[in-house]
Amino acid sequence: MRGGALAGSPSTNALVALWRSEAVRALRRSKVAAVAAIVLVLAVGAAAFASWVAPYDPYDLRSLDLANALVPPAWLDGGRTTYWLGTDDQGRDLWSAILYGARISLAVGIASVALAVAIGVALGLVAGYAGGRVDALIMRVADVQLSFPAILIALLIDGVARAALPQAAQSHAALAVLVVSIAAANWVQYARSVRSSTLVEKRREYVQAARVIGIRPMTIMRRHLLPNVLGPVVVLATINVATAIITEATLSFLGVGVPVTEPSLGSLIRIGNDFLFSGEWWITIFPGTALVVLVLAINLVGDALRDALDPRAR
Amino acid sequence: MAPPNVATPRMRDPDERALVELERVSKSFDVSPPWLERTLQRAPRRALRAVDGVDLAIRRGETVALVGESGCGKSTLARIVVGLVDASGGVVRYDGSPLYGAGVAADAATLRRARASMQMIFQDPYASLNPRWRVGAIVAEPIVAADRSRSRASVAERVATLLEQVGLAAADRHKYPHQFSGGQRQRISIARALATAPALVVCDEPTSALDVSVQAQVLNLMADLKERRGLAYLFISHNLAVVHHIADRVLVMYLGRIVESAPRRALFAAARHPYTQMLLDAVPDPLRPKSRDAGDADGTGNGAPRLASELPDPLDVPAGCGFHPRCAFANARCRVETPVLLDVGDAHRVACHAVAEGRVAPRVAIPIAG
Repeated sequence: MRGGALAGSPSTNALVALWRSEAVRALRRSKVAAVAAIVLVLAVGAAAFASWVAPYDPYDLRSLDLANALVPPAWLDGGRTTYWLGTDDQGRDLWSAILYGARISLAVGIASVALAVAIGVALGLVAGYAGGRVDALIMRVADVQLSFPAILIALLIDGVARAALPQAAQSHAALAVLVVSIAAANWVQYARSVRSSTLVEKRREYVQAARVIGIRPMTIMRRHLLPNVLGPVVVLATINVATAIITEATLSFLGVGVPVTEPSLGSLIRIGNDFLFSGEWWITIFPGTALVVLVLAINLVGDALRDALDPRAR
Repeated sequence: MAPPNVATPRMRDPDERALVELERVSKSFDVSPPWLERTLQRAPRRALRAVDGVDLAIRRGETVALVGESGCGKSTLARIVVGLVDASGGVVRYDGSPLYGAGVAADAATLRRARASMQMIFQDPYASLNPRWRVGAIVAEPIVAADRSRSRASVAERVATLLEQVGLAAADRHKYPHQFSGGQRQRISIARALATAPALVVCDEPTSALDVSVQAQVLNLMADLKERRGLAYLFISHNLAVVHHIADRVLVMYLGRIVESAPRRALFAAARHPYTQMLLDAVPDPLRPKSRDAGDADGTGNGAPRLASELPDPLDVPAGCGFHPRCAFANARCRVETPVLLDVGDAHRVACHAVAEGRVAPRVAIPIAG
């Protein structure tokens, strides 16, 4: 999630080692966090290797057969053992669709958080280190950004993308639109957190020592300040992956997100919503449960991480 | 260099050029309330004059101590010398060529050369080392910054040598700062400062955060390195016992101005400025405990002055001599006219009307413990 920005610096190994030990300690202390971590690892593994784990490929439109549509879960009347969680209105196997959908949800969540972290950390560092007018400008832009809700920004970007891009390119751009919209709504948190940490760190004497040596500001920010301001960002980012997945689900539910042929958890829930009142509850309940479990696991792991990294909580 | 009405101090060697020279250096900080507040409440802009027209020359191999109370501008002056703070007025020269200051634009090569030869040791050994870096990387940073083409092996070799020179083991370069004690961390700071073989090391209260027993070790190390490498130190301190131990020359600073400048022996034997006398009297002497009411008990201004009052608000500096509200010898002239540094013989200079008029006797020497 953040390794790329630091790769190659001699402090990377140290940071990773520290972070790992803290994380491991947090998980050992709390059983809830340990269970959440196991669930998260299983979920991420299943989603990442969906093409091997899932019995069907729900994206392969040729394999879909409307005759298999709206089959209930295996343990109900009319259920088939080949579709143990049932099928949706297109005849897609729900279990496979959930695995593939979780992959999209996680990819969008992680990618949007990574983008938001990259933008927010860079701007926060510059604002905090440069101070003065640069700081004022960046933070006012951040304030303006914060006054728009994420959904509004996403609808705006989606609208612009639809108008600007040719029809054929739209489905390819859909994921990018999602990632950019969610990142645009979230970078402010990272910028603020990093700016305030930078304001504290830049007054510390190791930064002044680097300035006396004649190290350039960019290098000081990258090599001295960045490793020392990332702690809170790691925690914030973990929890925000969950928020981003929810936002993605909301946007997909609204029809802004991924194309119908490649449903995410959010679009599965939306499809199911149409059938909720006609009795086919499984189409929406199972993806919904998967979403809740995934988000809950990420949140619990993030909480444990925050407790472990916050010296006041010890 | 010196203002026209000041006698030039006698140089020990006329050919000996100053390594670093400050000429009428000033620094004001803008501490105005925010723009909106200023506009609404018609509050004026305010400036804090931390350093006010300071002349200072440090020769090669010389230890110059800068003493004064907290808030007198000594740390700001130190930071101006190494380029951490930009002076609002005056010039800093390195080896004769202008380096920092108002209207000075030194070229990159001069800056690089000067930076490599002026390093700094900081007060807080816990904040001055990046907690996420290994000691080896910390000490190597200035070496690599000065010469990017240097091979890894030769940098590592240099780091090992430096660590051994400051009394640590070469293997310590694989450890992190938190694995060391305060004194050891200060040794790492010293190793980093020496990495580029500087001619001047600016030390901002390098021992004040350490235990007394460790202070002596670090000071001895610094004295030893000075002997071996011909280092010059600008040594900031408010501990006169430490200054007595290490300095060749002592500058006393009060409210941003140098009020007394003298060779160490002369200063401790016969301090002239009432403020310096006050500082020396404030040093606790276990052999001669002073009663609290001793000194100017009869109110005649003849007794020893005490550090009774606090430093005035630096935003609202008294007119005339900045020290007059606390001075037992102040008269009408002191409240109006700002004294300049005058030579009283033997490279001893004092900025005080009372001294110039012969109203203050030199302080009788009391040996300082430590």
